[in-house]
Amino acid sequence: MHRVRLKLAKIDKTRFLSHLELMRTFERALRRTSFPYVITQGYSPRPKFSWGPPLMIGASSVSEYVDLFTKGKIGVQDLVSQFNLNLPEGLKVIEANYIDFSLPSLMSLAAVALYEIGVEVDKDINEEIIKDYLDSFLSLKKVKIVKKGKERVVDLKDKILSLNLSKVDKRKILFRAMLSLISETISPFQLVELILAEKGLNLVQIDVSRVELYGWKDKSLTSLMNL
Amino acid sequence: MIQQEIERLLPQVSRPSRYINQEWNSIHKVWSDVKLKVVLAYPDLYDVGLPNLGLQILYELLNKDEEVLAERVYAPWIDMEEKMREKKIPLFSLESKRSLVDFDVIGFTLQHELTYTNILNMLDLAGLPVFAEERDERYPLVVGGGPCAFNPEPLASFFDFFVIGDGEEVVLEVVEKLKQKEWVRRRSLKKDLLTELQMTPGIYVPMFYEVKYHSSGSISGIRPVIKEAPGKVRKRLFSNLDMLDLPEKPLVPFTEVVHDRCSLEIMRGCTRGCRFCQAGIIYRPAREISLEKAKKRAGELIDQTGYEEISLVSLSSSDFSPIFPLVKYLVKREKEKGVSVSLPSLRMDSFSVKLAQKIGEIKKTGLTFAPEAGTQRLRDVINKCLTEKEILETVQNAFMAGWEKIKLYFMVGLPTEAEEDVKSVIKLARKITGVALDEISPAKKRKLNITLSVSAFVPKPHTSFQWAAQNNLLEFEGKIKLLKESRSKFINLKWHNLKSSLLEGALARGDRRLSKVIEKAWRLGSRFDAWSEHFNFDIWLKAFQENNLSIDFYTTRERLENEIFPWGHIDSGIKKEFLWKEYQKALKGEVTLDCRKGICTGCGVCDFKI
Repeated sequence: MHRVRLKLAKIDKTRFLSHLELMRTFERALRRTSFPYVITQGYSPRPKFSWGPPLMIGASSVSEYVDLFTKGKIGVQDLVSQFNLNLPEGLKVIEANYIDFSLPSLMSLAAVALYEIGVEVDKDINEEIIKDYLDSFLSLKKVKIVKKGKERVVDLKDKILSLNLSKVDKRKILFRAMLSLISETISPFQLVELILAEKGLNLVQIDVSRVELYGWKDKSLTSLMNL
Repeated sequence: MIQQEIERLLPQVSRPSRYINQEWNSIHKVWSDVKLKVVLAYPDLYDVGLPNLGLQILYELLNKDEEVLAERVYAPWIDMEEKMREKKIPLFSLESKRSLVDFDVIGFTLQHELTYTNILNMLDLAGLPVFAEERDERYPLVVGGGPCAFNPEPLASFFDFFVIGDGEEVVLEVVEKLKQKEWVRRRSLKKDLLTELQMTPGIYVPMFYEVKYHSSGSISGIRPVIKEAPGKVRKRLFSNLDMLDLPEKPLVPFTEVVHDRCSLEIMRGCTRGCRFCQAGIIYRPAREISLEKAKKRAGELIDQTGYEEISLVSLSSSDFSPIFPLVKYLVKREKEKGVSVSLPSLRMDSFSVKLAQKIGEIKKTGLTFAPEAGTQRLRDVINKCLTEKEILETVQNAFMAGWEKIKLYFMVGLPTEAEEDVKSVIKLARKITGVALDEISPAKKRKLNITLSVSAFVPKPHTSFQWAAQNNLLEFEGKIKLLKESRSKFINLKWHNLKSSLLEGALARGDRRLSKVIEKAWRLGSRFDAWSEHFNFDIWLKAFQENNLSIDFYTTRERLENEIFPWGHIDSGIKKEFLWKEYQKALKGEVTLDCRKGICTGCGVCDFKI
């Protein structure tokens, strides 16, 4: 049995797929290929997969990870091109790599996600003001977040590894944020709400894109593709 | 841009993937390249509508014509409708995200009576007047087809025309006429166009017929009001099912849908002659595809979709002559990939258990059978042709083969049913439990589960029971109570919404006057009536009342032999005398054997020269 790690893009309309829908869509694309995939044992046999951390509905991504198990080894090029012939528009395999069979699962490796967050508000705004908002937010240390109806208090420094302003253009603001994926996470949507809370600004639109997922290797953050 | 506006709404609604399209095998054509634009509409949620085989056949069939484009639309769920109305976004097709008004034809699939208010809601959301007479030639033509078109009368006021029977050929004939008539350029008057269209066999234009009533409320006559219209509209029959290679590339949804699998139609129609079954009559004569074709098609469907399951669709799967060789072939072909096979309707015999065991080599599935009634007498009344011995032997075989869960379908409210018949449903279930306890290992006993799924009988047009009275609510409730009181260990009882079965009964055998009732109910807020969380019977009662009509007139009234039915001018090919004879035999508890096993029953359909 071989283990191959795939990195996928989930863009355009497919950003509205839930994680479960993504899994089903990918599984069916796999069945349309001629790959010798491994199937699970038990009452309802399915192709053996191991997915990385799920993404919220509405966010696009160029860093969806999944490990696939195959009986024979298929060339990486062939793997990528056959998948891409069989995936619906918006989904694409960007990269594939055979990895050591004994490595820990994607879920246990993934520690941090890098997001690009585009926000459109209903008033013109300048860089100075936004920088102030960010500074005052980051100085909070602890914040309240609501998860599944329950209120929790979390430490900001545990949850936000970095938060930078990339661009401000009239009503549009672009951030980049490195957020922790380990327990009690803050989602990029929550992050925007927290930053702009009580600032008298209304959100017109918010576009979130997951840029990369990282795990720890020798005390430095490394892309899951290279772990 | 409507596309952008829709995408802004999507994060705020449940399961947004219902509205995005781009599903695998969806077809996108260039709008300016075609002469005629059709949108196929399913008046229920995406999850229910997507798997519909009829719609998928038409979708591919129409799109094969280079001059035609066919897109899809399903009823938006309540949350989406709310947002659309708030933002003034008209109902749009999935593929090009265009408003439905931009199409030349809107074609509704009429699968179930409880979807009727959704049709009105969809027309309204698209900005069309719901009544056909209020739509001039600037609006798309609104057409309906499918099983409910066999009694289109309750919908008569909303539709321009209906397609009666198999759509595969007639739809193309209509499309040719529309292309020639240059309807697309809006030059012809709607009435002239409809006069031309109704010359096509199988096309029924309700506005060309007049219905008159006796003071008692029953119909005194139905007659054409233009000389070109036929007295009766005969259903269309697509005789060579083996020639139908559609769908070739079924749509593969992102989200989970009700029948989440690809489907191969191995047989259309059924010869069994169960007297309650409408499909068994309107799809006559029974037609099969060949084993060779079935093998080839099944393989292609699996390869084209990547689905984890294929369903071999027919009204009675075990009646498909080469069913075992087909299942055996598929199990062998798909074992490595783990793709399983399912059969939607199995006859209760040991052969079916053998089939289920073969299928179980890939994926163990539940076993479902439909004895329909608890006593031999009542099973004879409905012509189920199934003995208690057969039932018990079948379940014995199933338990011996390792099943511990079985689901059984029953009906209450069948003609001539007495208390004893109802109680016997549980008695039969107890006997089955007894057989099970003898057969299964003690360790498995805890898992034993006999599910009884009970529905309220709805008499349907074109069946032998079209004359019969439906039970009233009190009778139905009493029967469910009887069942509940006598159930015992291992028996799990489920029943359908009784009130919605009554509404279904009224709409199924309703006449044209019900158009106003449907409109009223919709205006009062009814939609998604098939969904118990949205169904409101009181609204419907009010809608009947406001139109001075009684729901009982349509449901609980037994009809006279010579009564003119609202669907009297729709010809299924089955003789009315045959159905009446069958009804009389039913009342006496006499059975009529399957015509494939011997004598012709004289139903009349074979005049079609298949």
